[in-house]
Amino acid sequence: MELPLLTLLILIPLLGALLILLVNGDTLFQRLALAVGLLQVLLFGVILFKTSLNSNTIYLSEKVNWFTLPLGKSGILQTHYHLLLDGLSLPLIGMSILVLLIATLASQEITNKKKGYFSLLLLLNASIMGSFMAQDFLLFYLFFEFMLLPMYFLIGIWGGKRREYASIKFFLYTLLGSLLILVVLIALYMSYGQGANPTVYSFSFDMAQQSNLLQADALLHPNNFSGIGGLSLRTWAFIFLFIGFGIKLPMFPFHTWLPDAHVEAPTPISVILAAILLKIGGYGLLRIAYPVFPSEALQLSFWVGLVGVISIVYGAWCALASKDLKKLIAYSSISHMGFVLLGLASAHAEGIAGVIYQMISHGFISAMLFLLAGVLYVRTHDRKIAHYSGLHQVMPVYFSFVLIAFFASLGMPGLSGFMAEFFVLTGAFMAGGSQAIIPFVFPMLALVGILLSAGYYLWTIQRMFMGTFHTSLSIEKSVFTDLSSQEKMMLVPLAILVFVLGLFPQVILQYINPFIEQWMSVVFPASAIGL
Amino acid sequence: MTGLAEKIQLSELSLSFILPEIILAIGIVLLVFTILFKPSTRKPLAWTISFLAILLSIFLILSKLSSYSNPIYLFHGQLVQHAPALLFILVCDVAMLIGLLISLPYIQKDENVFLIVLLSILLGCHLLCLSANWLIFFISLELIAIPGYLLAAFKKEKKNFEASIKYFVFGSFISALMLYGISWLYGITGTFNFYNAAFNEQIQLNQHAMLFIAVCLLLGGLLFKINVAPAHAWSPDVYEGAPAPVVAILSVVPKIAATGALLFVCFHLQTRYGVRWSVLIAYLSLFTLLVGNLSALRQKNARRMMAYSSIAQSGFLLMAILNFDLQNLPVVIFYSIVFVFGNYCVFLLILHTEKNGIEKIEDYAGKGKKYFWWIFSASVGLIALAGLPPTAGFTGKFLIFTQLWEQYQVRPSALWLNLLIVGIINTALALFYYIKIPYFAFLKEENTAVQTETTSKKLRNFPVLALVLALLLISLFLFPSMLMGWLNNFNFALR
Repeated sequence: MELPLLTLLILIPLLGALLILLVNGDTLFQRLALAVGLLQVLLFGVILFKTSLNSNTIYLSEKVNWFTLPLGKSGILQTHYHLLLDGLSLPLIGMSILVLLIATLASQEITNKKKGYFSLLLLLNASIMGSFMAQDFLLFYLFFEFMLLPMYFLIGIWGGKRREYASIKFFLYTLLGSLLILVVLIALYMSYGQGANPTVYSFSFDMAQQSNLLQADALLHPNNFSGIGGLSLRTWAFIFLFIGFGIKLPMFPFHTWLPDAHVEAPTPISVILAAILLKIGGYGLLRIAYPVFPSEALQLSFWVGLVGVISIVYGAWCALASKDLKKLIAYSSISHMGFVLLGLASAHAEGIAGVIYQMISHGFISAMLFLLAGVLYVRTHDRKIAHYSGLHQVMPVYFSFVLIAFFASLGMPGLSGFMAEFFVLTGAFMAGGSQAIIPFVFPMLALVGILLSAGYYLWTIQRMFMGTFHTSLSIEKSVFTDLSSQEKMMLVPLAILVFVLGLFPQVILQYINPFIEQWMSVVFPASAIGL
Repeated sequence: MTGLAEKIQLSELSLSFILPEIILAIGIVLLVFTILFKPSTRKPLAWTISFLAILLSIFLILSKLSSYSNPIYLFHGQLVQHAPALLFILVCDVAMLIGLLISLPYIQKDENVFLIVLLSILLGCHLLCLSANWLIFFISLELIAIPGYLLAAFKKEKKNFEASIKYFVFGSFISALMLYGISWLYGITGTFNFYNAAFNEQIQLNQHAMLFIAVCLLLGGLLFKINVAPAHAWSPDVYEGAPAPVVAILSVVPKIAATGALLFVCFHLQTRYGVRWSVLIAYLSLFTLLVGNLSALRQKNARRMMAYSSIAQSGFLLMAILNFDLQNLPVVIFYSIVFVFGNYCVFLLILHTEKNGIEKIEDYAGKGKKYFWWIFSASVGLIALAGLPPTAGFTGKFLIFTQLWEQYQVRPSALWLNLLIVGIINTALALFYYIKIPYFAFLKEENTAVQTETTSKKLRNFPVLALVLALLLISLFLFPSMLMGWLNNFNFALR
């Protein structure tokens, strides 16, 4: 019998969470969580091995019927438990597993209520795995929505001083987004069906391409011209999805929850939030919003690009003004996630490749950045940039890791961030050229954003690390110890990956290229974008 | 015309069909006697009697549901028994049964009278769902209302009297209006029996302002019971004054019966080309949602918050019956069951902690560890009420919204879309206050200034019942077909 590998990826953390609830012993919890993480790494290894034998664009898939609900007179609702691993989810899953494992390692700093913490962490782990693999919209939505609750408590209980405010803000923003998605979910579920009397309604993401399943009387049928406020219902549906996932991304002007959540969250949770949860926004756009509503997406490309560019420039601008190290990194995340939107707006294969590349690379870079901010915070309990200078004298190893992370983030050639932004900009310049899908000025402004990011990173290095050692905090110099071996253990694999992705893009491109080829042929075929 | 002897015979035949109601009535009489003559063993005995009466009634209804499915007219069409009514009655009975289980440790010695009152309310609910005649309809509604007035004043404090008088004056005024409406309807249709084909015909023929006014007067009484704004003002005061277990029961049982009755009545009032009553219900639902949720936001007392939450939930119940399509009945029943379970989960916590002097939501601060399992199960209940996964509350709301979208698809009127969006916004709004109790309990530090008294009596620290309900809420989410599959076996014809 074949093992349901994908289900196991979700099941193992769930069982781990249950086990943690049942056993006692203060040191046991973290070990259990680590064991779960290692098992997932092992499983992922097996999956990678299997996929290397498989030449399909869909590597693995598991599907059973979940539940059936009769819907009044007209039909039956059929939902599926459908997990799938393709060129988009595979790298994201790999990145998530690694980052989650590192975050579990970094959870050393959690000292109170460990039982609750690690069980919630594993619940979060399971729902992340589920979100990246679910193929049925309802199943996806459930995992997506369920991420809220563990995250709310993880920030709210183990966070910093203003944790309550930050957690409720995070919760409400994300909930608002997911409710918008719910509206579209219902509409899509009621639009795609098979047979008549009774019609069996269901919606998996692969059904978006099967236009014969779109019911003729459905409101989301392209031939339905009724609209609200001058826009067709399909356009509205795309806008709802765009905002819903955009809040998660986060994009301007729905980004304000992110700096608060990051500043208050404990280090490992910041790491997960920045490296993984933000990516689910981009993933949702790539997986749902664009394939289901391609022509609407193309029409609104200008606005998607505009929001992306504003996020890039505005995020960088705010980062420049940030006085708190973690807040600076949070704003830089907003800025870098803007590239995801710009890449999508370009409607070019290069741009889309850049989007996926950016999501993976930013996953590793932001994990590194937040871990580094955490390293300083654990020692001094203070993150104000202005309170330090000349740190390179006392913490040279720390400084070198900071350099790698900062340069990767600001787009230094040879590191992963450069590759991603290079792809996105190539796509955006092509789109801004003869076809004028987006104005030429967008990629130009994005370049200004990159310039600004170089500005704030270099300025931070100058302020915090250069010069002679000094701190305005009333603490001993001996507090500033260099990285411990455990901290190195967390940072080294991330640093290696940042280099590998920067020098050998093929490592990831071999997975995403077939996916993008197939994706482009469906969403933006050459005829649609006027090639 | 049938002769008198035949009539009696028919009535006798009918008697065997209303066995559950007869059992409840006998239970009430027995209770009165027990309380009068056996003062020493009052509490356990009285409780057992009511428990057994309801249990028996549940079994009888279940056997009825499995044995036949076509509507049966009883007592010359005064009552009618059909699967939808039986299902609503079943939910009421189950809700009452759980309510009794909840109240067992909390009812004081001198509070036995509650059991009588509760059984009377349940009997009223049974008859309300079964009634096919306006007069029986009115009487059963009063049978639910009058015990309510008693309950509100039971603590004999000034505050309770005020609540009770408020409730009483409001209630009697609405009853009088309702009677007036019924008399108009009689004038228009010439029959008291609303299952009669003639009734619907006459309604069809007389679509004018008078009918509209008459129906509004009539619906007023029902909406009062369901707690629909603007007839909701009585409930928070009553909820605050009455003993907590009673509040837990009162906030669900009559509401579900009245929802069923509203569905049946509107089904008969609706005609193909006449006034679309669903529009009226839609606006009421919209208004109720907003009033309930916005008022609940400001509440500091846990009970009052739950009172307003139950007003908001009424809005969703109205939304579920909106198109008066009986094929959608499983959705209503599903949602009602989720509502019952969720509400009880929360009330179990409130009951437990009120004994220890916690009444305000702020007092839960830092109590997460002490009452972990209580607050855990209450949180599951609150999440279900808010409608988030992984609880059946999500499935319920999802089904209601799906139904609304379907309606919008069939008849693209902006009203349905607006209702859908308001419903969804309200889900987010409701979360503000639903999350408050877990928020204070788990996230806030204990306020040491407020010392809560722990009673010397040994308290159970493991809420078996609440955990079972929470587990049910989660398993109904994972396997909704468990319930929905069973519900879809029935024939949902009213006539």
